[in-house]
Amino acid sequence: MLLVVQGLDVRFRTEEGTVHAVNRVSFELDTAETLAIVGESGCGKTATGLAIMGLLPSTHASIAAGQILFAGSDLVRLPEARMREIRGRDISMVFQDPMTSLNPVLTIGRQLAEALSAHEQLDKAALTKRAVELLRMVGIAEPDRMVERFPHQLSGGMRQRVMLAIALALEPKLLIADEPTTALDVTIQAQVLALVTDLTQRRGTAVLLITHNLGVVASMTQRVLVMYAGYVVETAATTDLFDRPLHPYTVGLLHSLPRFDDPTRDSLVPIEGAPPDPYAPVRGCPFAPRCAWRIGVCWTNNPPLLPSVDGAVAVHAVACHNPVNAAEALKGHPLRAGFAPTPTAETDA
Amino acid sequence: MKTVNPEVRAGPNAIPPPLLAVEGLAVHFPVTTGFLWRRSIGAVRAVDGVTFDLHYGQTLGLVGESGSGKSTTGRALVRLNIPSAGSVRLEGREILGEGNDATADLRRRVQMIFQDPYSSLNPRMTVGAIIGEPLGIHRLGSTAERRARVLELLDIVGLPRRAADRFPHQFSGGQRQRIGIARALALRPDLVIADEPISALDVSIQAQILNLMKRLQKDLGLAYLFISHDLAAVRYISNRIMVMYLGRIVEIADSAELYTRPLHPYTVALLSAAPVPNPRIERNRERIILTGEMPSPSEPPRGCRFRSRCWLCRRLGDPEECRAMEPELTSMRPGRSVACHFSDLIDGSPEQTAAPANPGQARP
Repeated sequence: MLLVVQGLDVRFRTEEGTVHAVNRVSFELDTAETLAIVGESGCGKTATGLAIMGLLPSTHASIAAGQILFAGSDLVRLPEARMREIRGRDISMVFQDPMTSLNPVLTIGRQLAEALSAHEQLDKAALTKRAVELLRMVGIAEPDRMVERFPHQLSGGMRQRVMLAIALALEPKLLIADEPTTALDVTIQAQVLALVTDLTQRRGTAVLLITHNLGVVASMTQRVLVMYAGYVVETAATTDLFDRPLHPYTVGLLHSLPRFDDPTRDSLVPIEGAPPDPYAPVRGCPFAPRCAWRIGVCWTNNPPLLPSVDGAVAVHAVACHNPVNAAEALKGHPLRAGFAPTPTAETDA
Repeated sequence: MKTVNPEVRAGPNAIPPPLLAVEGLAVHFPVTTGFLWRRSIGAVRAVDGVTFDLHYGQTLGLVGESGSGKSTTGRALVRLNIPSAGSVRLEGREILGEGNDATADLRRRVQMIFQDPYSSLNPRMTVGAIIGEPLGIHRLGSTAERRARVLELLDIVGLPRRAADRFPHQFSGGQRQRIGIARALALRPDLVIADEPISALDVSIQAQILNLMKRLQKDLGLAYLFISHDLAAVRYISNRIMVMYLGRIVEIADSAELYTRPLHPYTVALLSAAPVPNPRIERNRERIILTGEMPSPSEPPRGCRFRSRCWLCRRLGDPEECRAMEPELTSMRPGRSVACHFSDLIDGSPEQTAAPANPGQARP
């Protein structure tokens, strides 16, 4: 197994208190596999990615517990000098906003050369040659002229291609892509996603795709983790998750999306209420305040992530005291006696 | 004073004019050079001849990518961008280039909701003052009446009444968007222009706002111009949809038809590019990946503006028509218009039938 994350806890210290950003997160990712972490803002998906990269800001963030085993060694306990060797060479990351991840005062070629020379001994001519090759690899026209350009002279889509060139320059084993196409238009998104698929599949690069976009999840990944309030609430093979979601939050997300691919779905069932307050300590299930399926125990006990009974055991797991049944998953709301058939009128508390 | 509109005056059998009739609307931003003596050296033709009607109580969707001119179009209708040319008639009355009376009335009857619920609310005003401000500007009602109206508006958008005395930063993004909606409704408008109203919100909150907008439309008889890059959201809320590319409308269709039977190669490509939350469809999809990016609106390509990226034009070997002539938005039948020389080749093509909304696509 290439990457094994076990019981990961990430804390942020802020003036208002401690934020429990990531809680007991565990998952595995193998070579050539693509895994999505999906969730809304503040769910801990980005913090999980940064923890693996060793890029959590040390001034106010810490890994409070857990292991991140990458090719056998625990990254959490690795000294920064060793981590620096791994970062960029074995694991690399692309971010949502390519403008802020590129240095505005250095040429594209210089930034590619910097990434290469951090890990490889190459002379100047060889670096330039490699930089041009990399730009060609990510489909940038006239790469020998592009190396002279500055980031602001490039469009958003081109900048994200450059970021991919830098991230994949040293053929890493794992690519972490954090909302890589969220800032891009849909036709450009299609170009960039096709490029990611092409470049990673060819080399067997494992991809951890962090996104809020369930369409991107459906098109790009084999497995999914759904996160809410720092917890993994459900994990499954991508097709299973969309076919047969078990957690009320997953069902809520799927029913919150208008579907132009499915005209029979002409009503949305929103998740009521507002996202959780990151400073408030969680007692019970973090989703309970917004959940139409909640029962008494949900207020007091936070359910662990357990393999589901129906569905393939090892791969589909859910953290829920009262999972959604098949008929309810289609409707988007509880159908059992004792539960409100439709959620109360739209108000965020 | 209300002016009688000319079409009503025309006789009892005249068809009532649409709520909003836009014709040849253009917004050009000058590109200038020089320091003290600025010279105009060109223009960004952000909106370049846009024509459409919007009817009472209906939702017209406007989709396009960044730089298509969709937001500029919306803003021009409330004169946040001053149009360079064209005509905009509200109930048949021209509202461009007329005196202040018409503008004031327009400003009351056409309101706007913005994308970013963080920057569009004044952080130093209470929510009550924000929602009540339009009433003050238009000098409507006494202080007590305005306060009562604010509380009523909070009820309407599903916020607690105590919200009136709080400040925007005490609310989540979804709640702030409700505040923005309440402010837009204060003057009882007929038309609300919603510019990417859900784009800054989380998925679970987007659905709340879409449902709220649908309910308000039903209860208050509002018409919407719903501007968005999100094809699925536009489909959900709109009766009719127009697609914009580089300052021009390339296609107008009824909501369902646009997705099952797109007639413009750009619409086909947009639908093909958008990933849908269905792994079974996604697994087997052949995407049309457009090459390149949208050209600059200061130098649109000659002939058809989509030509530089058009997959159909390329397949046809870059025909003379596309290079020489800009296709006009042509009515195929009532309510259905398209601006393409070769749209008859799209109809029934495998690319068109591959649209994910078509029956025959795998669906669990």
